Amino acid sequence: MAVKWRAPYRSNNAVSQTFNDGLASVYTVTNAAQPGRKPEHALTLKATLCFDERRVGVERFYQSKQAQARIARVVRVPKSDAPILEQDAVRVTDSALTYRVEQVQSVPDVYPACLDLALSCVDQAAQQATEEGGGGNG
Amino acid sequence: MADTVPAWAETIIAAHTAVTDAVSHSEFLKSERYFVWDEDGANDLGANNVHAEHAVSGTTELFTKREFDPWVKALGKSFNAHGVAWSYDGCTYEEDTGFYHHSWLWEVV
Repeated sequence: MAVKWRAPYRSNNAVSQTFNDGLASVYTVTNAAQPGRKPEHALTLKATLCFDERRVGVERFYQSKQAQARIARVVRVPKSDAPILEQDAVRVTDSALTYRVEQVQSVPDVYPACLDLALSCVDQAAQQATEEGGGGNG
Repeated sequence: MADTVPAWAETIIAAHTAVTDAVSHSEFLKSERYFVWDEDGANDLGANNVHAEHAVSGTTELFTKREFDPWVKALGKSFNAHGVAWSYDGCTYEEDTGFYHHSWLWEVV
């Protein structure tokens, strides 16, 4: 029998997670090109979530460069009914860029339940600017 | 404004889509069974110091997880039906991904 998910117990002084840095729209990426033609990526909105900006960190940034992933930013979003998968696209309110989800990590010991999304730039010009600037907040 | 598809490309696309719609040009698809084709050169006929006939050469690759995929034979038949000169360039099994990788070389006027 499936166990129904219940919110964890919160005491009066428990740390809760805020999401005050804007809105992140998560999209499914599909191929909209005609058969035989070069693929054209079409975005279908999956969920719009508030997010909290997180540090990329020096180690994560350079390790992702070694793996050819190039993490540009990390955002924390609340868990939603729509599953967020690797290779989904994300757009955030403070940027005109489109990002790709490289990694989804569940965050323990916070309330409400949330996910950390490691994002890489899809836009090539912005990707080069991110590399020149060093990336991340740390 | 959308690019006009050249006649040779229409022939190649038609030859592939006669087998399946899981076909893409140049870029890989997120699929476990698909063709990807790409042009890579020319084999023009030179006569009287001009290119008297233009022929485009290219390759097609099939990525599939099926051991004896019927699309292999079907593509050859489709190339014949569409007047595309072709040769089968072999198959490689990629152990890390589990894909069978078939290749063809073709030329079309």
